[in-house]
Amino acid sequence: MRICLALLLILLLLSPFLILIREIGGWAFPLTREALLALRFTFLQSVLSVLFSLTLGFLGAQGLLSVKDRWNPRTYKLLEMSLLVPNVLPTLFVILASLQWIRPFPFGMVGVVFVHSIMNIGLVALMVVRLFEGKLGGMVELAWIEGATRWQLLRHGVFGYLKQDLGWIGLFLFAICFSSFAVPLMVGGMGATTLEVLIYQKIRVSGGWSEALGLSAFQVATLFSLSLLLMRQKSVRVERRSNLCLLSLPWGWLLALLPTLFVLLGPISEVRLGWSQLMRASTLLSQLPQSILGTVVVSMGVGLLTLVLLLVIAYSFSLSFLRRFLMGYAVPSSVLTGFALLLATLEWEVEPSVYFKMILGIVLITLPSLYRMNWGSLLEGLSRQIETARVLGASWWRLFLEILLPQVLLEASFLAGLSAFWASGDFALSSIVAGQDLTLGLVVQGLMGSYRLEMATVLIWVMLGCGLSTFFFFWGLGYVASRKYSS
Amino acid sequence: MVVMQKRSPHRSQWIAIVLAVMIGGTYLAKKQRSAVPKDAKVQQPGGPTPHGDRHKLVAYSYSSFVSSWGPGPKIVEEFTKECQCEVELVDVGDAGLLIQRLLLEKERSRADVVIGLDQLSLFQAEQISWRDVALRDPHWDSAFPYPKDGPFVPFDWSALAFVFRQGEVSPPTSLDDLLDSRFEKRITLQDPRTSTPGLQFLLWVMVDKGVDKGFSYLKSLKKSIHSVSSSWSSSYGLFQKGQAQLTFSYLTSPVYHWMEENKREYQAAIFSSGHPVQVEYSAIPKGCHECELGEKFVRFLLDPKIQKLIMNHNYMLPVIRGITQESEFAKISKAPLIDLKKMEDLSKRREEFLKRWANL
Repeated sequence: MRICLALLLILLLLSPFLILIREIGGWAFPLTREALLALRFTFLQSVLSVLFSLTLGFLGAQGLLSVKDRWNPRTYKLLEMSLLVPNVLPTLFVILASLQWIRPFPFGMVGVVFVHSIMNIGLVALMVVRLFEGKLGGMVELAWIEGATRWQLLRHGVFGYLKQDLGWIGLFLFAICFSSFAVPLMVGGMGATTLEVLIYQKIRVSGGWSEALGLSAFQVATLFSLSLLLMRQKSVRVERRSNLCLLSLPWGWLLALLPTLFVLLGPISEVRLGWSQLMRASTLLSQLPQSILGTVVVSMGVGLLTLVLLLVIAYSFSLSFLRRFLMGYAVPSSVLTGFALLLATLEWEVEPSVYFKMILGIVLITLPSLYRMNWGSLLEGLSRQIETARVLGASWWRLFLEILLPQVLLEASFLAGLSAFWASGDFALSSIVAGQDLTLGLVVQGLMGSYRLEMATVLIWVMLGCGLSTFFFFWGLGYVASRKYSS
Repeated sequence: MVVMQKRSPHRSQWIAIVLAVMIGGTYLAKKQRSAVPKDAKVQQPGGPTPHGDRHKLVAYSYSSFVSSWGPGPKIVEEFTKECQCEVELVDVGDAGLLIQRLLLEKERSRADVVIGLDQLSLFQAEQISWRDVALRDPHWDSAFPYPKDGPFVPFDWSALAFVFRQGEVSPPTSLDDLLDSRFEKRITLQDPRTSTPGLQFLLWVMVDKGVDKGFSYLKSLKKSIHSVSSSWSSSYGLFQKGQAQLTFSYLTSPVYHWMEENKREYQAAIFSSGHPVQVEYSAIPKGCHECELGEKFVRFLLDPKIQKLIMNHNYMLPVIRGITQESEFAKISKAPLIDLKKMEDLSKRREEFLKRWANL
């Protein structure tokens, strides 16, 4: 059963590649100077972006620890949520905010790293703080009793003990920056090329699908190679927050929040003109309820499917081939995945709902990222408990229900909520498979493509509202369900 | 210790939310299904497609044409009144992916009509078989440089130009003028690898300067460039938000600001050496299912009433004469055009140019 589920999951994730290979008849890697230059730029900007985002996000996480127990839980939750905002907005708005606040803006490699950091610092802070809570609780308390200094704690405790987990977060960030498209183009300077740009160029300019697929396969191979560098380390999950304040940094939360303020007080704060234009756009206004509903349906669908697949991963986690696969695999870019979904469903006698295609496509793209982000690390931390239970004769199903589920449900819901939040702003994949403006992300993109930037700015707030609502829904659901399980 | 098992006060809220979403999902799914008549049958490529007594035309187009504020939905509304048929407008996203989608779908494509091909993509479009469309002697606008080209029927066009705001910067009058220090870090362009206007600019420079001198010119132009965006919308957005003072766009772009925002300061800079042009075409793939209806639709796009609708919603010029009279479009400055034949010839070398662009 576990092996079947694992194989089915792998097949599902590989399906965009398999469909495209069947349709195109193979792939070709264009080993040209152009591709090598793109690889060099992509690699360098990704590594630097990871270093900056991770360092600043780490400081931000220390800041979150300092306020977590002092602030009202609702205010703290709001703070956590707001950290995700730069990660879900259309890239143009993050870039506009950066250009507005930093003058003169350092275009080129520095600019790319800066914008990537702005987009990811909050997310990293959120991931690291959860790591602290999940894995360091007991150790920090013991270290404190033993009289360890703050530096010793950081050096041996945090960096020593969490190096693999931080490596996983680094790999997660690397995968995001490695497949970044608009940021390197807009702030990387004239002629800046990444592998993702090259893939799009191959498809758009010359219809070179096999070359695009080859480049995409190369991206996956790179991630696989990097994942092999991360050594397997089994850590124990101990959720105690009693003395985590030893790691806290009083001003760090402000650092984590800065990118969000940067964006929210920047271009998307100017909604007055957009609002008056929107009030006059009767057609758009009448379409809006349906777009909002469409966004919620897609977000909820993505969250739900993600939740199910994360639990399938948890159930089958002891299979090493699945772990290795998930660690290094990246689904091809949105364009390739979108076209694969379109082609796969062309021959179906009953055309599936476009919502289904959108939900499936977004989940295919985000699931490997979520695994690298936190899920793999969390399950790895529980593997000793699994081994012990197996030795004592527990069946896989009982082990899943009674050991894994109570401990991972909250985190699974958090990741499902995050995935739902991302889905609320998606347009790259949706624009290929939807065929109509079904969600707010698509409406915003369409408005931006027809001079109506101001109206798009207003709708971004609605989009954020939808995304945050679905995020809270899943997070709350997980909270309630895990408490019920625990009791 | 007695642990009180309390019923969660939030449970009813969760149930309400889940129910609301389920109802919403069902409503949307029904709404989507209702676009297809109940008696619709599985279509056989090339065969007849009966939907009861109403036929259904499937038209592929790009996002801003299909969106509710674009011309697409209104054209469909007008057309369905005349044809007693149904029309499904399919948004394929970026116009640059139209041809690629058709090539990939091959004979399984549902498209009866394709709207939004541009003249630079026509040579790629020739890989697909198209049906010839018999037009009824349209009165082409004399300013429009491209009459019908084989199976491709033009429906709108515009020259491309640098757009600026009066009072912010004195406008350039030639490509060489863009090298002036007053434009330092003030121009936004589009990347020719990912955007059609970006490719137009690159080819414009090649036509105006020649290939080698053109790339030397582009190297010199770097100091004037604020940013090169992946799409027209991003570069124009930067310009709209005041980050740049000059952007490469359509000659007709200022009309949007005149009409919708009453901002007359938006203007296009006219270069005496000429401007490139973008023409948008519609065409009917040979694998169409509703070919007659498709032809009717393509001809309908040239109807004066529809031409006016396209002009006012797409902010592009009509191809039929007499439409712009007494509109803001009549106030657009007349721009001379470059040698378009030369540009078309050079566009076949685009891959070579794009490689050189990446090395600038």
